[in-house]
Amino acid sequence: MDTILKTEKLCKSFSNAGLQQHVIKNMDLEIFEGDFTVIMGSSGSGKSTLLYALSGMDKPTLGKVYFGEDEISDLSNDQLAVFRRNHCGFVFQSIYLLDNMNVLDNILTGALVVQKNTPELVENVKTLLKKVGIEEDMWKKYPNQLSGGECQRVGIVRAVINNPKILFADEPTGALNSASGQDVLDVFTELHKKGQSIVMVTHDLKTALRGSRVIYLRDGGVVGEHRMPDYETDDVVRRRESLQNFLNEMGW
Amino acid sequence: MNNILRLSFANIKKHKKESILFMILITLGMVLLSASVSSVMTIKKITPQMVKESGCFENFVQFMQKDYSDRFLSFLAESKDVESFEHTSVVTDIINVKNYQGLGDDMLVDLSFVPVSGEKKMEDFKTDADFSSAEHPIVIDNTKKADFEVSKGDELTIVWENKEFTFTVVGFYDAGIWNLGSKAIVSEEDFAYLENCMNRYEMVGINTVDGADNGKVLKDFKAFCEDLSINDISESAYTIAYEDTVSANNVNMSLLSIIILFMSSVIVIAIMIMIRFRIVSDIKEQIVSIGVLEALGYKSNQIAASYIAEYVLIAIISALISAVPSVCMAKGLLKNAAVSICYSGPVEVTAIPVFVCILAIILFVGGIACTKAVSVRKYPPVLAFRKGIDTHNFKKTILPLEKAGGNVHIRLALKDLYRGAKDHIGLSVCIMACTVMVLLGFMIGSFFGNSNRILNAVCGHELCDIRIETACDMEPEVFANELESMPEVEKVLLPAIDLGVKLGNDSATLEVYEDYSKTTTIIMTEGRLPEHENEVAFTVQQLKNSDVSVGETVTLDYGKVKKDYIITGVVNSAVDPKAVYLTIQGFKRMYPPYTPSTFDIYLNEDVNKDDFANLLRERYGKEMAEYKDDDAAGDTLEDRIRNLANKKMAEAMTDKGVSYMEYAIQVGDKIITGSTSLMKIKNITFVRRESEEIAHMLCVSFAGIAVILTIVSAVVVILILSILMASTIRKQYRELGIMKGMGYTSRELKFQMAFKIVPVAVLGVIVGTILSMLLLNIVNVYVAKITVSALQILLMDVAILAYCFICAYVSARRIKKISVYELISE
Repeated sequence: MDTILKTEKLCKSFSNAGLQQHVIKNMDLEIFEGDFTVIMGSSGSGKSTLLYALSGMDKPTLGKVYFGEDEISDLSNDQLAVFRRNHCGFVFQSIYLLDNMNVLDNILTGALVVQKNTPELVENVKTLLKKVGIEEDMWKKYPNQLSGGECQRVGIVRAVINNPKILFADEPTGALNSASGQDVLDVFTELHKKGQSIVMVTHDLKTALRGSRVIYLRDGGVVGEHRMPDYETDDVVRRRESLQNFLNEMGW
Repeated sequence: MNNILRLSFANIKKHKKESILFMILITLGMVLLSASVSSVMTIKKITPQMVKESGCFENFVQFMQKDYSDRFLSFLAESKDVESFEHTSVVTDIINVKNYQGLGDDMLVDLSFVPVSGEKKMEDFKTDADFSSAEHPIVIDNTKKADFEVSKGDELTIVWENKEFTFTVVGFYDAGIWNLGSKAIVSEEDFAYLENCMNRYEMVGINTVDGADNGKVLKDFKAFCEDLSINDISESAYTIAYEDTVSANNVNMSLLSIIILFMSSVIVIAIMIMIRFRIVSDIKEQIVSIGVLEALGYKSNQIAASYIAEYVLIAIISALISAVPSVCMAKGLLKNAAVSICYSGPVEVTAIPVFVCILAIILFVGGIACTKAVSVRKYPPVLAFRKGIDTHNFKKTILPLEKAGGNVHIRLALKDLYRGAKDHIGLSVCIMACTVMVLLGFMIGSFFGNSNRILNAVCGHELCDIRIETACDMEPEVFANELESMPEVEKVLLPAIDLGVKLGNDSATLEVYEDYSKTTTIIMTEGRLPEHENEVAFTVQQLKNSDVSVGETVTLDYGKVKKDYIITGVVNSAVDPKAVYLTIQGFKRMYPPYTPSTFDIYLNEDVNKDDFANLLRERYGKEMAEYKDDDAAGDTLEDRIRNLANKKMAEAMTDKGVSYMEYAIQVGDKIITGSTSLMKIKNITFVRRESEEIAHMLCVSFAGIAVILTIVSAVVVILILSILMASTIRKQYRELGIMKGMGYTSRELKFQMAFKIVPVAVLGVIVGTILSMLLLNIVNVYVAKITVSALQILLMDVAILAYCFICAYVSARRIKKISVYELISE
């Protein structure tokens, strides 16, 4: 598999009242194209920090991040924004839909910054919405008129509408109930099956089961990784055992 | 109370930069408003104070010396309403004061000269000047000391009509209200010299008893003089009642303060808008905190009070900062106002209006804050936790992106604009007011930036290059043709000058030309100039005063001969608003013997005016005043005799009205002969040049006002937009962060923020432009026909819009600091 993202000696630290807090320390990591990479770790291990450094949401303190062959860690904020809109999609735990826009506008706000407004684009949005179970009667509704699961599915459509090379998700089911969470994860699985590269941060075992590769972080470094059995061919029990064993090894 | 103040201080501290900008805006508003109000109120006291301190008479009647008789004073001596009166001679002219240090330009002033004895009659003349300490002593009023750049002992040289006179400044004094422009006191001997070569007047000062009607006393006195005089003095005798002087002085002095008052009102509007906008932003931003505070037991009134207290605190700090500058600025405005009427005494600022204005602004700020802050009561804790009802948006979607045709950033900006349309009404009003200030400043400044344009627009009478008043009887057409045949001359017109007529109970000055089609600087606002003998044109003001309109018939009265004329048109004349325009034939209906004796000469473009004036002197003789100045000096006896004879003839022609003289003097065997045939010129005036020099001073004033208006507008716009953008960014922090996360660059978001104000600014600019045009129309009617090209206005509007956009774009730079990561990790 080709490498889509790579870090070299990645460091990220934060300064708080004069004290430096090193969250990621000299991390070397590769993310492969077509993989559904799940990042796990205990609280404060640097999962989200790594995700945002990889996605160009935040700049590393030291080290390099490559997208394919291109270094993105030395880009300016505006260049990073352009990189994000052209290559990345994001699904957030807090969903972050724009409250003042309806479902269609929320998705098109993300789409129109990259693509021209064509009937095909609008049709594509509608098709994707239908696919994730958001029916036509909801398209003109505002986020506050939808449930959390529905909002997150709208968030996923917004994330993938530009056909990103890689989709980042930060605990996408964290704010949802169990049933809604499963619906959302089904959408991710479906996308992965179609070849979408995904990087997802989670601390939930059920969510992690959907991944093809699990990376475990501790104290700002990668302490282990695990290649998961195929989601389609292997049964759930075997996958769960495999992941559970890996996590036990990691001391989870 | 402590808790409320603690919350307020926390809010101020949290938004330090915005609070500072807001403080600057309030301080600016307080300083301008309190200083202008205070000065407008105090200005009313300056003229009475000036009269009291100088011991000057209150009412005056001015006569041309040739019309005056001491017998006039008998009326005053017998009138029960008159407490005291005096009279003195005064001469006046437009003169050049040579720059004392030899630096810069000479100064053109309308200066009057009064003998010491006359001055002492009219006012106390408080000075320490010693008139015996110099050969040609002069005392000037204190306000001219800085203008002329002179101090005691310095020489002061005046130049007028090719004549030059050097005085020694022996002191300064505080003048009263009796003066024609500025006044200088000279010795009796020097006055006697000046009397021969300047315009001479007699001035009568009158104080009435308490309770008497000054206007009526002066009117009765003038009527008495008219009856007694053999000349028609209805126009040349000029009454100045105390109330009119006070009123005219107040208007002149208040002009700058009123402009500043207008500016401050724009700032007060801006303050109102900003408070309302900021409180809404604060509540939206802090709504969860509000819920928490309410859950902790704070009453919604206490929370609202903390917002009000925040703005009142800012206003109080602004008040503390602005108190001293307000008083200083008021003092400056008063001093400037006082100097404009030649008062150099102390001007005391009335502090009460300053403090009342400052207090009013604090209360205004508190009141406006109160109207918005009470909306906190709408949010009980649970609702506040859910971020209020604002986020539960069930409205129809406006400008759906689905139908977005072009640029998505513009579409998003417009969507956002619509969402906060109500908030932006105030901004639009503010931009409109600034547009009015800038456009009026620009139109007046650019139009009056050119002294020629000022003259052509406002003078309402002809501005020839050289005006000749002839001294002896001659055929006017023949002389005009003779002048016109000279290669330097473009054309010659024959006006009648210094004439007046009665128009009902009022009076009017006459402008008389043979053929108005040849005139160039009499600008019509309506109709046409008279072409026939029964036609007349009025100025705008005269038309309004007489309550008539074009097409109506009016009766003019000259020397008790009354004739009817049809009004054919309206002229714009700021210089002489009481003028009426007749043809020579029209004037002859009332005064058949009239023969033109004044010739307006228009020179070709490349002709030097001084050289041409010298050519005229060579050909037609010197001006009468020069003959009269000549002494009996000369190389030979014959020269001395001729000079003396010319002097005597010039005196007879100017003082006694003699039209022709000859002389033959025998000295031994030789007979020396001469006549007035070569003494044709009474006076030469460079009309356009003199007017241009005065207009140039006006240009500088107008340019100054234009610059001040533009600077204040620019500062107000930048302050408003800075505060507005900062508040908007705080309010939309989350949305902007999400958009950044989606890949929108800071530059694109800044563009959206800035573009959002474009429609608001366009609306403000359009309404502002319309208002400016309406105001300009008023100026056009009453002051001058100001013409500004539509293209210039359009360019100015575009410049204002561009400025607003750039200010908004630059002010939105804080978007750059929004970190997606921080937003997500909140």
